[in-house]
Amino acid sequence: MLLLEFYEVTKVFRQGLLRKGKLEAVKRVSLEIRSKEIFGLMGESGSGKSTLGKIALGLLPPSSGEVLWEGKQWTDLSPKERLAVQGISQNPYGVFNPRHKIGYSLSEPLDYHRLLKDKEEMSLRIKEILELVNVDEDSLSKYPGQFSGGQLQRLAIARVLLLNPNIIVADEPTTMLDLTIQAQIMHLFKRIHEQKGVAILFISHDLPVVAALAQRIGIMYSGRLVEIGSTEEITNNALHPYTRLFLAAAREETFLEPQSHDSGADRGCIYCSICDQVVEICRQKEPELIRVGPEHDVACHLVNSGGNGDRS
Amino acid sequence: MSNLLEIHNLSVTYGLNGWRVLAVRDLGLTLGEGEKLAIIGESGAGKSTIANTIMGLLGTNAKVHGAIYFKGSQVKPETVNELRGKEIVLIPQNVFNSINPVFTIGEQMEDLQSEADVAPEQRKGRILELLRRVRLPRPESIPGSFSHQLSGGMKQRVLLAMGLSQSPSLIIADEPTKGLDPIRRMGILNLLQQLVEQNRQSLMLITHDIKAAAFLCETITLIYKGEMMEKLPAAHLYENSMHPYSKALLAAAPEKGLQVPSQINGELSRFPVTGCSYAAYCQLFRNSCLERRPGLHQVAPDHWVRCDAVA
Amino acid sequence: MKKYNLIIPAVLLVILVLTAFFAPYLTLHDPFAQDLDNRFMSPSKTYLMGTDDLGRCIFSRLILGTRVSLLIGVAVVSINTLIGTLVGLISGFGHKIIDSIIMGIIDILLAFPGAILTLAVAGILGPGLLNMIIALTILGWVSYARFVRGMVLSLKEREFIESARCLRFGNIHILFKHILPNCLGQIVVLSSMDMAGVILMAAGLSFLGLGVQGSFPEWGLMLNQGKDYLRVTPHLATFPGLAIMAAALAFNLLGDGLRDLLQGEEVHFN
Repeated sequence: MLLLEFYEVTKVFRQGLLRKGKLEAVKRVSLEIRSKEIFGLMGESGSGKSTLGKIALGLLPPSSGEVLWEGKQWTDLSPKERLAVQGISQNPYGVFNPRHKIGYSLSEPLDYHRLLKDKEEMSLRIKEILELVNVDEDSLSKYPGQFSGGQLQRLAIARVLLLNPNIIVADEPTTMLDLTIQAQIMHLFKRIHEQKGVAILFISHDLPVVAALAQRIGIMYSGRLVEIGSTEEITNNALHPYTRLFLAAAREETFLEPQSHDSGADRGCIYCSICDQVVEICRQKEPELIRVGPEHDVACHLVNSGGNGDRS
Repeated sequence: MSNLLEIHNLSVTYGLNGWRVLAVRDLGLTLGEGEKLAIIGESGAGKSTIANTIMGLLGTNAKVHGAIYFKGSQVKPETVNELRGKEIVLIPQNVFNSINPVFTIGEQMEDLQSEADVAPEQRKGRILELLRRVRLPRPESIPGSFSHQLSGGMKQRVLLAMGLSQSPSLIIADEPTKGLDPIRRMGILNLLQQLVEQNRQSLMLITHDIKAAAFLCETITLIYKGEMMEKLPAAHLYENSMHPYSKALLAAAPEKGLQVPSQINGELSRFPVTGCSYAAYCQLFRNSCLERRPGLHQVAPDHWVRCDAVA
Repeated sequence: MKKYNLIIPAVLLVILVLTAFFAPYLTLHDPFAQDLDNRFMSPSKTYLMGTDDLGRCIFSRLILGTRVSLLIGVAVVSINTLIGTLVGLISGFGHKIIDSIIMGIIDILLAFPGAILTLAVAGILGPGLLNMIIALTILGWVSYARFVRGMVLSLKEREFIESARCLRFGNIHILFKHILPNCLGQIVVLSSMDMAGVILMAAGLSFLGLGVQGSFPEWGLMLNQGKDYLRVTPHLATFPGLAIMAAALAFNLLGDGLRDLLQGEEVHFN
């Protein structure tokens, strides 16, 4: 079952004083997230992965293209149905209202949407989830300012779990945390995935973390989805030059820093100004995402033409 | 004097709401000329405090005990101004607030050039040279730009270029790879390596990125709650580390199995501890660990461990 | 240490409020009773602050006047706060068009010099307690609206507001349960400072004959009635003047102290 579908989604931001500057944060991305899967969305800052995450959460409308949640449009979903898509953000220190106690923050959505019958059921649910995320019950009477980053992230996950989502969009949830805290949070994600069957759209630029958690991986560069496949395919058989560069850097292999060798082309592959394997067609036409294997799609002329491209 | 930097028995406390918090506890370190040393620790371990102490940038509520020697002379509050920005340079963690937003990069770098007594005709040339050295794309466009026009990575390199203005002997880099994607991360690590080796400068790398430390540095120290727990050559880190904390850190890496040590947290405790500060989380814990502070034992020519159970 | 900033104004305010509350019991003489044989008397044991031009006890009139001043202050500030906060919330949180319209109105209103507009309105409406309150609230809410709008605009971008949207809360809920509580502290500071201004302005209006009329013991009015005798019997004007000053000062200090307290709190909450 498809929980989330993106069809040729583009998101443009207007910038500048007269709103004339155009930033294509996401361009023609097509993607699907399946039920109960963990999908790793990787890319550098500016790749558009966070923007895509916000679109998935319904926080930003796409400029063009279509997004479907379990086959429905966002406007056709009731607020309760929209609860099925939840998010975890990068900065755990900001997600809770500093003026509210944690107990209030956790029960607030349950009360507002009237999800549970009575106070008793609510206490039970909260207790159960707190145990799952490994946080003490006495946290309920404290304020967010009294917790560490790792604890806050766990509480954020708890709040989200209370709503029984079927997909969690986690945007760089461990980037700001220490290594050992990161390990705790990773284990938590694994645990909730196993126990609750929640799908996770895991957005991160940390390869080992994503590789340890996700079943499928997508790589974004400058707003485009350049490669997508199973974790095994991507980690062992990456084909797009950018993916290969990304992996080489993550693995600390001999690495040549990419430098633009010409001014970016207006059309053509977004990566061509930096790519070390660029050929003529790369500058003319943007490559499409084409299937090259059972769980492996790549958007690159060289790969797709299988050696038939012009060499110039 | 063979050692560029020597730290003896450094302890730093901060006053907070009537309490005194021990941020650094009896730390000893040496750094030779051209040596690259990493200080690894988690948040709150005291790493930034060490850097700020060397640079004389501590707040008024901080008390320092112990001594720091640079090129043989003791660093004192009165003398540190001469060293800061010239001999010792800090590349701060938070790049977003570190460049003055009201002036162009060029104006700020010219200020630094005039501080270094560079003749006015030569300044622009020197600035371009510095910007090229840190491998900024299109360096000619940088001096006319303002801080907000640059990306985070570019700001970091500009800070590095500014730091190099007066050919410092010691560069302290505070979490240079924090939050960076793999490509930018390798970029800055490669850059630091090349710069420092070219000019035989010393590097103190403060980080919680263990791989970066192992990649860049020859010597690694691990700090926990303000105390040095282990010091060893980088080459021995993965196979031969002995302190239980070091092992726990290594085991937490995703590639190594994402092992979560029970109850490890890096937050600073508010109370000084008798005995070993790692006792609560240590697998090798024995009652004697609480009785007295473990000594720093030398287990190999360049390898020290602060643990009575292991040494 | 910082808490001492609040103790002085708090004490002063408690005195003021208690005085206002128990006024009838604290007066030594009937504030309206004229003793024509004992006009212009200097402070003495019988008349603690002396008597005015009609032989009335100044002290007793001052005590009763506390009620008037505080009531006017509370009424005006409450209205200002309510209207201003609501407008600010709507402007800051609502659609850009609504914001532009409201800000346009506010900018036009602010183009008039405040005190003069207030005087003009008071002049047009004529004297009287109600008219004075109207005159003081016509422009009074505007600075609250601007301020609250500013706070809302910056709070709107905070992560916990994004989280609230993700949790699918409606706009009203977010506005009143998340945004407003984070503004309240600052609004209270504004109100305290405003109170001081209102007391002064009300006294000023009465002094000019545009506010409370007749024999009513309002401080500004007493100041007006005493001004003619400043050379000869200054105590007629001095005591009311000091009372006005004390009340205004107390509220200003309260506002300052609360602001300091709030800043400390913000640090704790992070």
